[in-house]
Amino acid sequence: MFKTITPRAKAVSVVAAALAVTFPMAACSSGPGGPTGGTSVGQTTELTVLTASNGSTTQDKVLATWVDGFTKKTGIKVTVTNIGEKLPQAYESSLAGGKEQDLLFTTLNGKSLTWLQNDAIVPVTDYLKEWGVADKIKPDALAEWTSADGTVPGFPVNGFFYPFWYNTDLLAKAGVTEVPKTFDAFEAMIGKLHAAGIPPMVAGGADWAGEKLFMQIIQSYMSADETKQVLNKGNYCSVPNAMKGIELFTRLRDEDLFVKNTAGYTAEQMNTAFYTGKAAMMQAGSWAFTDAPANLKIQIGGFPVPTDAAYSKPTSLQGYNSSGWWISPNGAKKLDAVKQFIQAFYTDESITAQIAEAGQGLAMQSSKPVEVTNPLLSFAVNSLPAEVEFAVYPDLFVPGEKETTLESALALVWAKDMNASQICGELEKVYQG
Amino acid sequence: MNVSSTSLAPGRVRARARSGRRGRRSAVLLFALPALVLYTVFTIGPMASVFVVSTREWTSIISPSSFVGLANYKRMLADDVFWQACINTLIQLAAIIPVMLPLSFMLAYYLTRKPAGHQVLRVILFTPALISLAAKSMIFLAIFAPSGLFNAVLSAVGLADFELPWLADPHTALVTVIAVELWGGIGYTAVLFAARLGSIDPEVFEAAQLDGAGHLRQIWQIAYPIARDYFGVLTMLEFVGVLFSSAGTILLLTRGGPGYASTTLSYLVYSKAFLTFQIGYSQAVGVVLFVLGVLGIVVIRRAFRTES
Repeated sequence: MFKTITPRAKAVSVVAAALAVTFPMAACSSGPGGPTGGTSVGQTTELTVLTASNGSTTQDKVLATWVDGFTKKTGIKVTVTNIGEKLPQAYESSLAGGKEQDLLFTTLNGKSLTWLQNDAIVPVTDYLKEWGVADKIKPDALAEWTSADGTVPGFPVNGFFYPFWYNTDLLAKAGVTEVPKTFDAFEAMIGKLHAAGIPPMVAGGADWAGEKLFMQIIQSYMSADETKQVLNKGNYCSVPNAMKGIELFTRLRDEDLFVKNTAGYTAEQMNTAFYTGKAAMMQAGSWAFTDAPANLKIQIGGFPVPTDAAYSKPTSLQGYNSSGWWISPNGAKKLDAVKQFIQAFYTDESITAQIAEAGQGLAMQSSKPVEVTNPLLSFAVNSLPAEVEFAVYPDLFVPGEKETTLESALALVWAKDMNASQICGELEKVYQG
Repeated sequence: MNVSSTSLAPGRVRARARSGRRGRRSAVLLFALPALVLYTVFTIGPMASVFVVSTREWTSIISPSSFVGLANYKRMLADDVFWQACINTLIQLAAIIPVMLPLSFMLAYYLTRKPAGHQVLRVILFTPALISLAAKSMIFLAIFAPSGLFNAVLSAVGLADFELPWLADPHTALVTVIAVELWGGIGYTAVLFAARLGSIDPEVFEAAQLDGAGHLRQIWQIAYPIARDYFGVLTMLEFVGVLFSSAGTILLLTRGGPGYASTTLSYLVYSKAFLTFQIGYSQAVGVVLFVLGVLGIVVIRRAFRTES
């Protein structure tokens, strides 16, 4: 009934089987980001870049324009991939396969804090002076990026201010004529806003924005060293000044400082609520200055702390661990092109574009004065440092592996049925996990 | 001289038959070999690696790992978060399976009655399956945002006091995720059921109707026994889908929070591996998930087994 298979059919089957296995393997071996560039002897013609942005910010557009100009000038084609917050996972996966992009533009926090010890990136300590970019970076920024043993993992680019934003029109409607500079005036303002039917403050309780606000408030009574130790070790319950700070937070929460259901707001939703006049205040970063509606009357300032606090002025946050340039092991194989790229990025012209047009690049310094046209950024750069004291920005001190879980735990603190002891207990649980 | 097989000695006939069977087996093996190789490499291999990695201390795929035996399992069993995730997973299964499957089945019965516009209705019901997870999550993030559609409707009907941060309240986060999964699954499952019910001879239902059976009896005493095996298959698929694939929805809507209020076992695998840099521990949870999955499949298959 059945014919035995002929030799010809067998041969066809073997070839078909080989092709069936070969094609998927070929697909696996190709992909984005690998060593490319059509190198001729000593000359790289292509670089690949991976950014943690979503591609739609003002800085993304400024960067895209700059990259076009760089390519025209040098002939080095630069392919930029904007992957958003999944960058650490995407990068490590491609690194494991040897296919990682040459350069990264991402933050110094979370997963990236582990890259040095895992040889996932090439430190730039020696290149700072060799390539002449060291004096284009603010000393404070360089200090923040320098690890305890003096290694610098990447070139800092973005710094930021993280002030309180006050909608002065809404304050005026409530009879508040100026931004409060004392804690008593702050509490009085909350009462007046409620009386006028204006929700005082919107916070991004559902994500990292809420974490930053919470951390700023609770460190009101702690010294900088104490704060760094608590953030790193997670011993919130056992440090009296930390508990005092948590109690300050719950006091303001229970006075209805925050809008209804603030626990559910993401950072974007928080911005939208503030921009549309649904709250008189928010805390947001200077990266949002260029997005603020032009018709909104905003004054930025600090959080006025109680008189017995560890700070004598209102506090605010600033940092330099926002995005910077990192060199991957693949990028280290194209050092000639990477050097050209970095040197070109740190020219006065480029720095001016980043600061003036994108409202970013605050870790960089130009040898020429940069005219900042954005009024909020201008105030932040020129006036805010004199009006506030900068508290500790949490990102560099919270262990990278605790960061996301901490944000999630902090979504619980906005509910009025959580007292200070319960809050510190939830925070300590994160560090034990 | 012609020699036919019938004139061969019996031993030679048997030898030729054995040779033929061996040849057919070789042919089958040859054609199946590529699929077997691919399956072994890309399915069995990763499955086995779950067990291997669960015995290692490993922080990221680019860092070295070390063998720690059963330490990850001991830590897991002593971890309140793991037990919270187990409870949340059981709640999710208990809420979704008994609601989705019967509702979908009844909806499918309605579709097979071919009401006016049933073809359009099938398309509408299937539409959620065509929306990507990211798009679906964006929609529901907006709906359940504090100033979103759901709260706006509550306010409009005079229930402003019931406005909540649905995705950020520990009492409602998991329920909201479950509601989203039900929304996405009921219509799709109904269309799958309708495909099976559509093959039942309509005269069966007509006869039942003549005998005085109402719709509910026709659904559960006529259609269900006929389609019981298929019902079991879809129950099993839904069980596996909820158990293993709910992490995506949770990641995009609540990230397991607030706290761990909406963390399930499948999300815990992701969270431990990618957010808290504990790959070995995450695979230990993965092993538990695997065992639960196998047990669940066996139980469901046994429960819906019909005698042929």
